[in-house]
Amino acid sequence: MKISESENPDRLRDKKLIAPANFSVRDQVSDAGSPALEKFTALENATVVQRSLEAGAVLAGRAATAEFGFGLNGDACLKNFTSQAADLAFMADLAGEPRYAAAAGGRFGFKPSHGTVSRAGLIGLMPSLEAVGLLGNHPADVAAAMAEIAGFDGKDFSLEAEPLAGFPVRPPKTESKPVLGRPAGCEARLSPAAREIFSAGLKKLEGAGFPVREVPWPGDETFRDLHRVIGSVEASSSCGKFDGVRYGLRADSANNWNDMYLKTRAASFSTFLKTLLFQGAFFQFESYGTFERAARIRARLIREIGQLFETVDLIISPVRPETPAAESAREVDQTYAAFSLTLPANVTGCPALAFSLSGGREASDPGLQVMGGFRSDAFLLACGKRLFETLTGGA
Amino acid sequence: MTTKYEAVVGLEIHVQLNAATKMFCDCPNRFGDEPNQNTCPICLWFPGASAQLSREVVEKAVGVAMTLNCTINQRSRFDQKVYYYPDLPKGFQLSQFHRPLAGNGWVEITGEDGALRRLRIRTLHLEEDVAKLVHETEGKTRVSLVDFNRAGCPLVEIVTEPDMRSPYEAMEFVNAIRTLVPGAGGAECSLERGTMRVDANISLRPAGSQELNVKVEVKNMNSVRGIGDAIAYEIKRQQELIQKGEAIILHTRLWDPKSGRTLPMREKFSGPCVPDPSVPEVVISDQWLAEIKNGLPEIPARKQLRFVEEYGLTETEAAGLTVSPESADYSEAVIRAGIPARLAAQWIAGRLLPAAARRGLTLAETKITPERLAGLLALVENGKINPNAGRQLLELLFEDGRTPAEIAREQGLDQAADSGELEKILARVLAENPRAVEDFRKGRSQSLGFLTGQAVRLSGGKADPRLIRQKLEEKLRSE
Repeated sequence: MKISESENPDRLRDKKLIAPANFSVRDQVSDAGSPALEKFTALENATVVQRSLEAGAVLAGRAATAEFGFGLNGDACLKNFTSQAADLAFMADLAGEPRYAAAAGGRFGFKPSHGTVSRAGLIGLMPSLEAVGLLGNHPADVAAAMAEIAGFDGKDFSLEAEPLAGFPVRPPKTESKPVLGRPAGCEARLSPAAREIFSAGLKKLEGAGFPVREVPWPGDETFRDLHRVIGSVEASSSCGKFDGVRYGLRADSANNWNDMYLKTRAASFSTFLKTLLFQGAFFQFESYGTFERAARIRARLIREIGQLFETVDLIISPVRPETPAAESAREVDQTYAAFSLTLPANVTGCPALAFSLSGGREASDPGLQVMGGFRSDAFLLACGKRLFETLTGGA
Repeated sequence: MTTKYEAVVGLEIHVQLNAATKMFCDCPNRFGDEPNQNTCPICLWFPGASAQLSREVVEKAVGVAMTLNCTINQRSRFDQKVYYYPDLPKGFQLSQFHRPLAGNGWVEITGEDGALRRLRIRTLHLEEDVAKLVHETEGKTRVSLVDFNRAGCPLVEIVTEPDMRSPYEAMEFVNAIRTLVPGAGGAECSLERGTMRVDANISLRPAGSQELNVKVEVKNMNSVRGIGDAIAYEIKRQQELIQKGEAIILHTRLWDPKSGRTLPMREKFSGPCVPDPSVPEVVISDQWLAEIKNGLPEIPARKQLRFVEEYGLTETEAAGLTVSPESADYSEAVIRAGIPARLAAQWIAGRLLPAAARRGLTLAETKITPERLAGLLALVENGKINPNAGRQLLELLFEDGRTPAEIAREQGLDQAADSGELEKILARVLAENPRAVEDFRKGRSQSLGFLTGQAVRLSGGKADPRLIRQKLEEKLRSE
């Protein structure tokens, strides 16, 4: 049942929506940016698309996506969002894509808690790490969309059955400010110019009365390595289904079915993705213990981060480190480097939002990311609105 | 001195649950339909589809696990068993490897020495079936087709401990499963129809040793006898290799029932099993467990005991009627129709079931409903036809849908029971055998048997010997 079922049924009326090619739209090509799904036409709408349309949203267009939504190379969502003057866009958040795009493009990006928004119809790659993310102009639009799309869906049994509390998001009744945790050393990856913008933002928040405390942090390398091991294994399994037998690309001139499978798979994926898939296959077949250790460390990290939220309300950090932009990352290493600051929310399943500190005007703007405790999505969005308005004047 | 070896055998048994739907979607769990009719975006694993675990499947599997004395794990999860083969186009099979549904079960069999043997079950877990490959030729071109009707059908895999020491014990274990699991209402367990598939892992070790040596997996046995024969062959093959000093290599072999040999197939599968992040954890609360337990059908052993107590049958007779839930239900319907239980037991276990088996039919597939059999047995019980005629009539009932009385009348099976006809036969026998009549009157009771035999002969075997004997005795004593 949708969270807002008893509320205003027209919450998203006339909101212009962009659905990238990795979100199924009935009778439209939904190729997830991969030759493996060449000309694949979806039989039904993704749950989030369907729910948005039922709430009055209008599908303003599709957008090209990075291959299976991983990274931003080849992604045209932000570009189409701007050119179509859209209000909302769905973006798969595998490593922080909508948050990174929002910080770079002067928008508002959001990743919900894992298991709160249906992934039915999302052509995914890393099921335990990815979520249906949102890109909007303002936190209020994202909060309104969340109220429509979150909640149990019989097509995705990985969702939590418990309704997500706190929706629709309303302004807090008290003026007390949330305590912000600032991971130790989180600005080390920023350029001097970016660090200056970020520090100025923090000062502004402190000046507005938001308490900021430094909190211990496991280190970006830990999150990156966990994401890489677990994500590559899941990607390797997920891509196994693209064999050219039932849909998508099928290689010509094969001698027999083994030959057909080999040729089809060779032609189905880019070198970029194949690198990731080979890594996943290596962990699956040759070093399964590494995967098991990664899964155990991840479980421990989730517990530790959960404990951190007993001492602070939110965790803030920059979004974009000083690396080549994610849009130009052509190798897996570069992609992981670009998303090193957004990966923790994917690894822990926590909700996170991000926006630009300069309205997208400064190229070196690292953006601000705010992460909340697991399933505290409504609280995070309510606080995010206050932080957004404090830092940007509500622009 | 020659080393004496003993066999170490463990079984992996796949049983198809008889749930209405597949494991992760609403498609019918049914065989025999046109290829690729029972499919949907989920069981075809279209992009964006996600698995929806069936509650009924879980309940059926838990019922089977309980019947096999397993401990049910309150929490279990699915894993992706990764391998690439055309019958598994999504590249992984959803199975429960790391955290199975149940385990630590057991089944008791009677060993070759007559003593009770408890054979342990290591795990019982849920697993989806894969698609079916069909290899054909189009002109001169060999083509391979994939039928997805079977993809996603619900299975439980029963993995035993390596407790069996002979082909006999493995066969008895399989027989026990074939009795117990259908009794729980969870599955059919037919090796012949493929709703049960048995793989055997076989190794040898010096007798008395506790070590577990390299094993060989044998597949493709489609009868209990085939399982026994395949294991016996494999034991012999491995013994010969050891005697020649050759190593046993871990691999999979196929049983060829025609040649009576196992043939090498491939290296034994040992791919990774990665936890699946999309299928939720299966959590079975105490309350749900209690509900499943209450809903389980009577287990065969308890049913057998009830047949003894309620219907006054011997244990052997009761066992004959409770070989399957179908035969037990059938027998109770016949008894409820007013047929004495013992008569029903003699005819169902002794005649009907073998006759149906000869035709390759289950009871439900024959034309002989409990009502029709009860009609036949009422004719026998009331002396309208004799047992010989009853046996003939039973065979006719397989082909002819009319009532037993109608068929008996048309075929003349009941003519000797007609009182006028019978009286004529008795009068003729008494008239033609004065010496035997005289002997009876002098106290030689065995002459009554002779006279009865003569009367049955004259009736063409149709008259009931019991009735003739009774009437002859009445006549002789009254004259």
